[in-house]
Amino acid sequence: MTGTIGTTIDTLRFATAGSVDDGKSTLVGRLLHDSKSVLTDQLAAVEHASRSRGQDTPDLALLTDGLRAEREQGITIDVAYRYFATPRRRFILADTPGHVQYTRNMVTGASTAELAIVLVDARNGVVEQTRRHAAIAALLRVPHVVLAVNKMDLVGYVEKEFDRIVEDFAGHAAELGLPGFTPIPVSALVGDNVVDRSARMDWYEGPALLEFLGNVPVGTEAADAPTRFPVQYVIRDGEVRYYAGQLVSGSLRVGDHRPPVRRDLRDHRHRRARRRRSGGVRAAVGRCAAGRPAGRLARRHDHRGGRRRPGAHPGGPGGRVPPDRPPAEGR
Amino acid sequence: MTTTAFTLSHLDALESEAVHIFREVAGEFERPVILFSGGKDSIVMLHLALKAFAPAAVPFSLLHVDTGHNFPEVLEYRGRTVDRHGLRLHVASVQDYIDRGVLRERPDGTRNPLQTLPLTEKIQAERFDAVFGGGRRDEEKARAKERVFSLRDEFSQWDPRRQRPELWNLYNGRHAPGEHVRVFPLSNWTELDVWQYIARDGIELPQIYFAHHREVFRRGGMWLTPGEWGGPKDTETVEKRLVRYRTVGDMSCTGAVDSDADTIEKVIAEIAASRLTERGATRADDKMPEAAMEDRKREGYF
Repeated sequence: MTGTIGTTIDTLRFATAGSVDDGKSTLVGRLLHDSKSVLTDQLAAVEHASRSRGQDTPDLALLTDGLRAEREQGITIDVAYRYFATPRRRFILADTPGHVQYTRNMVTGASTAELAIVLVDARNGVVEQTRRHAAIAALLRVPHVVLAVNKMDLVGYVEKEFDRIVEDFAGHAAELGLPGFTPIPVSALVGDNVVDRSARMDWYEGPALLEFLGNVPVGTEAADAPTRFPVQYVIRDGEVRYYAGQLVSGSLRVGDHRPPVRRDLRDHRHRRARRRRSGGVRAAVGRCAAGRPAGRLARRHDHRGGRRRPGAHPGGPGGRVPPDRPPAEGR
Repeated sequence: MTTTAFTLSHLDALESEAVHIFREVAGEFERPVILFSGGKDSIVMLHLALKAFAPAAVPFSLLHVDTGHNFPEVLEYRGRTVDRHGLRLHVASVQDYIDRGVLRERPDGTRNPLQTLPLTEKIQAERFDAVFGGGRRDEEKARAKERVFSLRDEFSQWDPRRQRPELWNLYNGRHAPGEHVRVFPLSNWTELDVWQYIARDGIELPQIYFAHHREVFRRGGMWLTPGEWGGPKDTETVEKRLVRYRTVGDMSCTGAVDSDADTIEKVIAEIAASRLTERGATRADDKMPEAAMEDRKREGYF
């Protein structure tokens, strides 16, 4: 958008993953704290809570462990979402639980992520839960994976320890079909290589974590993929029907003609992507592409019989799309 | 054909996500309703709903939980909005419950916690099955944990341990009779996003969001507006200050902040530089123990 900041800001959604006690919540707290995304009253609350537990330094994990049971047990049970921004990019962070019994909550957090940070405790290396989370990232086709080797301070910042873990993980990644990953040695507790590059690991020449998050490409799917527009909802305005939904791949321009994917709908005439403009509402997306959401793109269909049914779109989310129903309640 | 990626700006992405959620609910539920307080988040929510179904009308009605301590400017705005868009408004009145003796006024005069019962009973009485709230995950730690589709049992209670998987943009609206789903289309918005979006789309807001001279008095570290709700007390003195409201709620516990931001651009600049969260800065009753919001949500609060 062109707004007060004057440049286009994009969004990176990312998730943290890894075994319990590998320091996910601490890393998240460090990321928020060092990028100055924690506001004064939030930090005061964390300091107060840490002191009442007899800790000298603020426990940054308390920034995201928002449920009573989580704070009592000192673990993360459900995914917490946090928001922060740099001048060029906005981040939506899903801090996910490490315990195996809460894996389904980790999946929820990872499903919308374009990048997953898999944390490993440098002392323990790759463990079962690391492999499980890496497998989930592969299964969900999370486009980017960062292997954050945490607690480097506890292994004396030794390069060899880092290399050993990276090599081990690379073996599993290849097996799981992960397209690639970026290893970064960090210490979430102390802050090495989280926001700023660490002077204690001069052997590491790559970017600090936040630097990498700020530069990784987002929304990179090619726009020349086949156009797929699952119809989510039918908007009726008098005699006219508008097919509303989000473009899941390819691109559409205002005025484009597109035949329905389903053969039995192909006979209808007058299919046309229309740019909608109506009273008090800004113009819709004119051109949109590739794996990115594109709401408000209405598709006009003059024929009355062309109703969308569940599972009509092979490229879309299958049969779970609700059947077309009249609006639930008249005004 | 081009092979370059076309990336949505962050506001377009947020808008698109919200529009998608509104349409899902319209398709999945029988009787959805939008919680509308006249605050900025509910105003943005309604704006998005209008967009989601344009050029047709919004297929939902509105519900206002009225604490009885409303800012007149906000009530006036509410009336105008309902008329302009031809919407149906339901009101659940806290005052009504107090008059009938069902709820008792709290010693501190705050009515925020009293909203839960009128809200949940209205939902039951009207058999609403989806209730849109303007809650954002950046507001509070318990909210940060909540799904976009958040199931409530027949007593409107939230059980964090019963949260369902919510993958990609697939939302599970399944619920047993008597249960309902709270839906949060603004889950991923921050306060700054809301303001930038208001600026981008030229959305009208009640004037109290912008700096104006107002008679206020100090209580609990905030500037409150005098009124029939019970302020000021004898020891508190009223003075005229240049203030604006960062959030709009019950008059007894929503504080104004000192501000000279009288335009939307100045408000955005002010928020971007602020070192306090909006609740920390303006809500007396949210300065409570760590789990206060979680406990309220469990009981059925917004």
